[in-house]
Amino acid sequence: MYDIPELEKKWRKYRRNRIRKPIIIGLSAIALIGGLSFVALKYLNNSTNTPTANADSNNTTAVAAKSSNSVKPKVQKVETPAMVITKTPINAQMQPKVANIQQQKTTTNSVNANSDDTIDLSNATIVKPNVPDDEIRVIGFDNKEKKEIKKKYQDILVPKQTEEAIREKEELAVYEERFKATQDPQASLYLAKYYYKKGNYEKAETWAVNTNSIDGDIEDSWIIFAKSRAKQGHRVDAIKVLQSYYDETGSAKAKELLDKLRRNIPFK
Amino acid sequence: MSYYEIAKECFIDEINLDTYVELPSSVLAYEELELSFEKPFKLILLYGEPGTGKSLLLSRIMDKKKYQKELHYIDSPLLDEEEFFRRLFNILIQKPMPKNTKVDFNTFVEYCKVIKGQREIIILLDEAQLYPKKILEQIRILSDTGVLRFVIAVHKTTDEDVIAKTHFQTRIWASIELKNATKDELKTYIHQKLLKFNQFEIANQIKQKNIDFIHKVTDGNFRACSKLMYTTFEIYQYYEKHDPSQFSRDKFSQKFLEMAAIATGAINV
Repeated sequence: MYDIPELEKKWRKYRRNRIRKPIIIGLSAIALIGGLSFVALKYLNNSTNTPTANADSNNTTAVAAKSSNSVKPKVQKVETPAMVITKTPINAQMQPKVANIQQQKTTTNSVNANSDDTIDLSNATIVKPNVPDDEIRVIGFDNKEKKEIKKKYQDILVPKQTEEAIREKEELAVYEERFKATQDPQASLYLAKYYYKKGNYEKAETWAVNTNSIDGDIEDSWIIFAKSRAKQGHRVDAIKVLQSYYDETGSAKAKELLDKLRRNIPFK
Repeated sequence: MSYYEIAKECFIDEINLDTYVELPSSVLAYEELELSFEKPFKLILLYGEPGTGKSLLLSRIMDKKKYQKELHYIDSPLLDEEEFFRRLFNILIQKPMPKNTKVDFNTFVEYCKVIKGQREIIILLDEAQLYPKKILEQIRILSDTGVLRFVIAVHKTTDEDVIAKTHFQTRIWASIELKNATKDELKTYIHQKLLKFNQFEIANQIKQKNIDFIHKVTDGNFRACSKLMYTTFEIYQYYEKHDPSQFSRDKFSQKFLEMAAIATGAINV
């Protein structure tokens, strides 16, 4: 026998290593993505600062940005930023604020780029998006719409299954598959017992017949067969089958059930 | 007997035909071997890594065909010439070799020529990679008589090439390779082993996740898998006795499986 406490220590170490590995990989991936995003953003910002000479000054909203104390405002025209600020109909009140922030960002960049210059933003312009309002859509459904969809398709929607039901279904599939592949009577007996327990006597009978056809000496299978037959209203059939099984084997269980069937005593 | 002790017994590493599990690959190998028995073969080479079921296949064919063919199964290698000759004498003459007797190898060859057409003897030779070259050479000469036919099981190593190429190359009728199990085969193997001992509940608890792990650490080798499962149930037994709160009886413990893999050296920490 192994030294189990020692083995458990080793297992903890193994577990730690296993957990550590994906964490390290995950963190590395995050760092890499972060780094790449930073580079990409920087690249985008640089593109944003590229001047666009064709901006339409009539179609603008002027925003005055507060410059820092060290940079005193001086009259200098700032060219229109290239970044487009989308005007959304959802929250129109947000627009000036967004524009303001964007403008401040642009200003900061300009200041950093030419720190010796003093900049006046009084004539700064923002380009209005060239997208018609009616093309901006809201994607998704609200609760009312969702309910309506559910109601419409309720006939074809599959009800949610519990985890246990799914597990049971999987198990049954495994046994059925096993029976098909190996003709193992124990697998079919399991299925017969399962369906009997669930009250599906027709299926229980079928699986019991399958079991008996492969191995006719399994007592439980004959009992399940007889019980299933009886539960389906074929009590006489059940008695006949059970009697011949009892005559051949002298099974005590068969005798007990036989007596119950004959006297019409309920059984489980 | 405890619940887990029975489960443990399912995975004892022994040649037991009662607990033999039929898998698609082993059925195929068996059928190929069975079919070759009807042909005028001199030698059949059966090869594969240790633990892929070569000995079990030989035992099985011996068991199934012993009343239809004159079969002899030599499971442990006969390492010296004298021992080999004694066994050969017993097979050919059907009597033990008298004490203080020596038989010249050519006498065996001559005897084989005399009985040609009257008897066809198939010798199943396990662990043939361990035989000395001289004996292998004698086997080759005996196989040429057409009376003695050999099924030679060897490990798939570089030696296999030596045996196959140097001695028997032109005489090998068929080469049958036994491989490690696939995931599906391993699943069937484990479940069937447990079901043979009526361990339905445990068989049910072993899920695909566990099978994937077992396959990963054993590479689908039956012997390694049996060893791993045996150790897992040994660990179960320990906790059942000393600390039952450590595991649930409704779920197969991946922890114990991993501990068993550490204990058997399937994974290194």
